[in-house]
Amino acid sequence: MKLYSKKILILVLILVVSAFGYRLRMRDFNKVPFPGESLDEYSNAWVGLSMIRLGVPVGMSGLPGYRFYDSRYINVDRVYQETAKGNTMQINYPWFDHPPMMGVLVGGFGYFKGARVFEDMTASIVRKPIILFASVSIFLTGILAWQVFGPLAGIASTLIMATSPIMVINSRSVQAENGFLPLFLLSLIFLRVYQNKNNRIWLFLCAILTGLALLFKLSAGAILIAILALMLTDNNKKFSVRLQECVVLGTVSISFLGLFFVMGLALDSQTFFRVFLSNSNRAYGIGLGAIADLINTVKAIGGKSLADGWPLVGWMGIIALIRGRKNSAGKYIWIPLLSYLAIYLFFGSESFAWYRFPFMPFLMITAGYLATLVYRNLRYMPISILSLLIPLGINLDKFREVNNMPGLTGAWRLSMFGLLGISLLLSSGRIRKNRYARLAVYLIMAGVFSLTIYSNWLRLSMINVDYWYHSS
Amino acid sequence: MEWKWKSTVRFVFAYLVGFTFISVALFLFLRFYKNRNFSEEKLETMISTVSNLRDKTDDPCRYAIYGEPATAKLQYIKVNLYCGSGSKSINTMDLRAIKDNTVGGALKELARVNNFQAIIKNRSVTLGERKDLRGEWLCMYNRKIVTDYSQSLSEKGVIDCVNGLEEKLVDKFYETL
Repeated sequence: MKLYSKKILILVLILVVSAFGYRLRMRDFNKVPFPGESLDEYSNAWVGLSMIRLGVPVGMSGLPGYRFYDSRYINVDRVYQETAKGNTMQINYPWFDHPPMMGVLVGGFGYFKGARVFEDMTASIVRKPIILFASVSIFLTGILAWQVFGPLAGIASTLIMATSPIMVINSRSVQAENGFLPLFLLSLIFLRVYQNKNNRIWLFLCAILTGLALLFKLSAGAILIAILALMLTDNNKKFSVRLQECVVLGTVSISFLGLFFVMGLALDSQTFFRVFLSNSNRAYGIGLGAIADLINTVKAIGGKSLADGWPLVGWMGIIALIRGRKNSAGKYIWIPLLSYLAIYLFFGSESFAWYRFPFMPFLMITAGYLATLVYRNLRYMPISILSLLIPLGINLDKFREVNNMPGLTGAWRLSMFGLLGISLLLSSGRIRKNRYARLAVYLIMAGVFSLTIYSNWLRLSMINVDYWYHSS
Repeated sequence: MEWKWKSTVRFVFAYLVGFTFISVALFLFLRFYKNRNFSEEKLETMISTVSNLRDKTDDPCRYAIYGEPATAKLQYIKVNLYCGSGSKSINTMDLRAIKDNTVGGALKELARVNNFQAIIKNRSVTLGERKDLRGEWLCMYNRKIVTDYSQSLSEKGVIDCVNGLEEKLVDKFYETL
């Protein structure tokens, strides 16, 4: 097959899987997570709608420093009959908790759809653009994984990102993190293209995207840190060149943040600086055990958790990537992840699920990389098989809780014994060189991977309103 | 193209000059747009208007504000509606959200939140339009019959509105509650 047509085929595959991910996210998107489980979803939308209609962002905030503060009942999606727990909404304006880009996009979409008052911004309206963003993120995750680890890992990562239960649920939520994720991924892709082709247009595009991401939330500063670190560690260039690249990228991207300050000065400079200061004085709510908590728990919206093995596999793989060869492509995954981890631990206000979203594409790429490692060398089969058995086991276990599956335990025990036995056999170089043995292992691994993805789908089919209501 | 410090510095300078122009333009635009569009009344409309997407009910007891407003601390009131045949709506409301701080104001706010009709005249109140409801409602504030719906609310107050209750049966109502 010609290289060109092979690339088209992979691109089409990634696109089709992203479209499948979009379909999965659209099923019951306005019911699960329950509307109002995170009132920030509405606040983000109101910020945008009020900017369009009033020229002033109006939203909810728990921060001190606002001059206008009001408690109100806004019964959007009938949250007072369901999830709001009777608490009123604390309305503030001009709202400066975060830059307004997320609000402008969601509010703009709502306005375009006919919303004019706050109660019009229902989950059915505000979650649609976010799901579109999430689907773009799936696609870009696949492209980045393809760039870094090759086509097989690209397709595997796309499939994992599209079907992972926690990704499907969390990417429905109107949070700024879901807004800047595609920009995070695209800026990394552009950076890699720039470093390969050395055409400055890609550097400028990367800088613009990084700047735009900063207009979603200040924690997108992790993108800037990651890009600067990746440029500085590019040993193929002179240090002087690297430094100049950083100066240009830094100037362009940070200037976008300046627009947020311009907005603050134009609308109410006193409130802006008071809120900015109170934002920096937030309590360190994630605690000192934050890293263990990140790895141990898989959080979903509404303070709930949803067992999903893929993030754990990703965290395990990150350790392997970090100790990889110097200047290896893996740094395009672990440097961004560690950059965001630094921001996460530095700001660390609360242990909300959405603060973890930006880790996910990198964890999913790493999981995809581990799952397909066996196709690089058969001796990696134990790594690939373990990385698949973690999510597969969790999914089947949860599925079995509500579905009677006689014989599953027996089949699981036998197949585990068989798979790990094959892994041990492959420690022999002679068996690894045998063509038929290789083919058999490839087929078995493709089967286990398909089964794991299918188990994601089975798991997702369980997650409906009733399941969500009873989950904690 | 090679990277040279001289051209890099020139680019950064030109970019910052351009950015300053954009910032000034944005500043002026935002000021102008705010001055032209913002008003307290328009904001109030956006906050308090009930959406057409939300169903209006003729039954005042169909919905209730679920849960206790923990953020209100002691600044809450209870508003209980009894529609007969055992149907009722038990609500705890945050006093800070009731802008018209009166018994009538609380009933109107509850009607807005739960989206049913509330007509309040000097001494009488009609809640909902359900056909089997009797026309008259009797409301008590802290167990005293309300004769003036402009009566002010206080912390931890309780409003009970009962459909079709006669004044002489109020004591019996509380005995059986």
